[in-house]
Amino acid sequence: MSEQPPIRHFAIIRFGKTGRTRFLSHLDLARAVDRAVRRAGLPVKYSEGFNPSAQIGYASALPVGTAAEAEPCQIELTRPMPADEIHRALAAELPEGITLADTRVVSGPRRKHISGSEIAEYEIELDASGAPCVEALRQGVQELLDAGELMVLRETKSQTREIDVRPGIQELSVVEPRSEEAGPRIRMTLALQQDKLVKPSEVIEWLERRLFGLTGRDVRLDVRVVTRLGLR
Amino acid sequence: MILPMLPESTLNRIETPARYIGGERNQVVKPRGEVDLRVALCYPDSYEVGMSHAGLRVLYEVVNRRSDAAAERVFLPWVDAIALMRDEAIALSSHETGTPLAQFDLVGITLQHELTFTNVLEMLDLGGIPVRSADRHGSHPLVVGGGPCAFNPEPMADFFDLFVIGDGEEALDDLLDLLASLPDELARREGRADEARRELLRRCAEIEGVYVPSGYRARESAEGMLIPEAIDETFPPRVTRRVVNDLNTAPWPCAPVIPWTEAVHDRAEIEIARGCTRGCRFCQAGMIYRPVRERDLDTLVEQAVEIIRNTGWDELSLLSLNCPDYTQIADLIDRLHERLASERVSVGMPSLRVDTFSVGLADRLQRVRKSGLTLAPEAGSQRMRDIVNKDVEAEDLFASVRAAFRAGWQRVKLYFMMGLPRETDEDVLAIADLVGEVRRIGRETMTKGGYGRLGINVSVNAFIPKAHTPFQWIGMADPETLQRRRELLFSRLTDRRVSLSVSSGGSSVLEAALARGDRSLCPVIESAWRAGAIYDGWTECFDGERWHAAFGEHDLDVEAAARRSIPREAELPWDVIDSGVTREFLLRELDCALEGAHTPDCRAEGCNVCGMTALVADCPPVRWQGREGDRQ
Repeated sequence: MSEQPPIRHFAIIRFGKTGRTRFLSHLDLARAVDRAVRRAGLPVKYSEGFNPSAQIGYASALPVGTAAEAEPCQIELTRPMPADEIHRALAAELPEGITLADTRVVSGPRRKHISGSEIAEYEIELDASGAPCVEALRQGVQELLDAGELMVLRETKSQTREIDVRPGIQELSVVEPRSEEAGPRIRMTLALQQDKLVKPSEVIEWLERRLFGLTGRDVRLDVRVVTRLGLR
Repeated sequence: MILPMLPESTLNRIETPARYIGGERNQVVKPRGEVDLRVALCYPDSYEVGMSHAGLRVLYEVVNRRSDAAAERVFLPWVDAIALMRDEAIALSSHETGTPLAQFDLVGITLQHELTFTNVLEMLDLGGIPVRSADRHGSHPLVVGGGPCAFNPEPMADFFDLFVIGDGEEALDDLLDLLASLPDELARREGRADEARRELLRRCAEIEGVYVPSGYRARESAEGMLIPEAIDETFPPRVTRRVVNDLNTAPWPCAPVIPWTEAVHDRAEIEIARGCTRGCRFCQAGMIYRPVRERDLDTLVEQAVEIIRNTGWDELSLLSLNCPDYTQIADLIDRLHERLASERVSVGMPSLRVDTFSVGLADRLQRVRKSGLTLAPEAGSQRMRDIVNKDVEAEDLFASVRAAFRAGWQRVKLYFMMGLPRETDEDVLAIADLVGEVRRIGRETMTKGGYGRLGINVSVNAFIPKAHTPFQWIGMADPETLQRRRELLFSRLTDRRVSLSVSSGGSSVLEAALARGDRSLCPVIESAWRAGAIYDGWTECFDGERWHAAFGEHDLDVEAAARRSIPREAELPWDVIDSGVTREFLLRELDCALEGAHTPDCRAEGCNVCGMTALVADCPPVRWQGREGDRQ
């Protein structure tokens, strides 16, 4: 008779990194979450060995400065607990700026519940001053979508090479400003996996170059905030 | 109004922006206008260093407990952020409410280390406060210094309005009481601002433990040192250090602010005792924090549990100059384990004595995580250890490492000093012999695999004479001697298991010159700062040439100042500060050092007449029989 794999219990949360906390590094953020989980008194599972660490995993690390609304994170627990209880306890202990979007629980033999996201959605808010109008941006975006390719330079340890990341851009659109003082926003859905990865900054830089070509004058798209809306 | 310390638009242009965003868990925000007194607590170094400092957390607690006052944190931004702030005319402000430094009522700056002196000037200037006390008027904050370097405040005398000498908990409260009681027209009189400020400083000088440098003029002594002398009876001839007698009634921060970025010490801390009377003759802390005072075991356990609950830290460190000497240390560790083991909190001690008892404690502590073991024999030869009064014999060290290797440690770190008084090349070579023996014990005691991973870190620092110690009269060793001994050590310690680091000159010489300096150094420090000196304690920023030039500009020589021997009868610039320990005691200890005579710990062997009985009733407050292995 084969041995049954043990049943594991997880809290799967989606958290946000808003306001000034977007300037936390992934490591700083992980430490802050770690401590919040401890303060909340969740029965978190620890690794074995000389340096036991709380079993908390993230779907993807966010760069310093990038905000987020719903980043998946899994917390392994030693025993099952109702999701709403976890949500309440944790939300009370997360530092200001780190928000809790939702919490669910799973139990079962699987070890990983949040890996395998293939695409990320971003919203880039431009600085109102100096930003081109929504129409011009839309025209640039359309050109990029029509273009067959988007060549970018990628550095690896040994070499720099030019690759086409256009296949990694799934959606791209321009959204009206939130208010009169705010700048227009650009939404994009980009591939996340290593071979097709597209960075939001690469799309923005391409747009800058195209808008310069269109208008004949120097255009700078000053990014105010990059927000990762979610992973899929 | 609550403002950020730096505008958001700057944050993506500087390194590690998280250290400037504020909003940390447990910070205390009292909006402007809600309290009368605003206190900036400044640590003149980076966020990561300053957020690790227990003293600052204590004072944050002391001030924020009051309903009439708010404490806010201010650190020195890193050099890239400073450049940006200067470019964009952004004033240095607090993390809590973004209040510019110049708008506080009181700006407290801790002086933990001589190499942070230029950072103080940078903080004041960046905060919009004139760097010299004489240039400040009625509306400027009161700039207050404290910490160990305040025991020789003279090199910084021009930049501070006053210094608090000794334990700050009660003295800061006294200062705030005074500020709160002052009528507005005195504290902030617009018309005759200078006069009001002078009057304010006079009133401050009446508080015990407060030294107001502008109340003293400098007289040149027979030996050519500038000696501060009170200008009139308002200012006491000597300022006596403040001593908190009972740590149990002293506040301790049980909900400290949790740093966003990884601080140097990113952990919970409880102060188990203050002071050490082992009597190492080079050690300033061992002289200026006397006598040993302990917190009760029950109080400590409750504090530890509460801090862990309020922070979620997974590491707790016991603070004391000498943790194993805490009378109930074994019980304390057991109780902490009992309460915290299930929370996965590891308990650690920063300092260990070189004896098997301490190693036993460390073994108990590190059941969860076994990192390196640190021991400080301080000197290689028995002769030198007798001179410095380090109560450790070679056999203690060997027994300690034997016990450590048996208990499973594979890495040990050994701290030594060189350039000590009366030291010869042979004494330094004795360091190599000790290390060789430690390695041999490793081979003998450890398994083959363990010995393969054995690592012995040997750290050797240059001895720096400090004010208020028995060695204050002795100059630092000359650079040639230090260099020769350094090379001797490197030529002897070649085993691949041994990694040797020896402090190299430059900043140690500056530290020595500043540590025993007088008021003539104020313009030197200002010149060096104006020439760009900042973060002198960081090797990537320290520039010895710049300091050389700054001393030269004022006809002084940094090396001569560091190496200077002072006649024992000479008046000293820091005599104005009464640490509680008398000159007679220090001289007696100096004589004992030169004879190699041992002075035992007063907690076990009776009073050594150091002078503390004048400040502390029923001294010493803690008595015990000594430990096994202590020399009688």
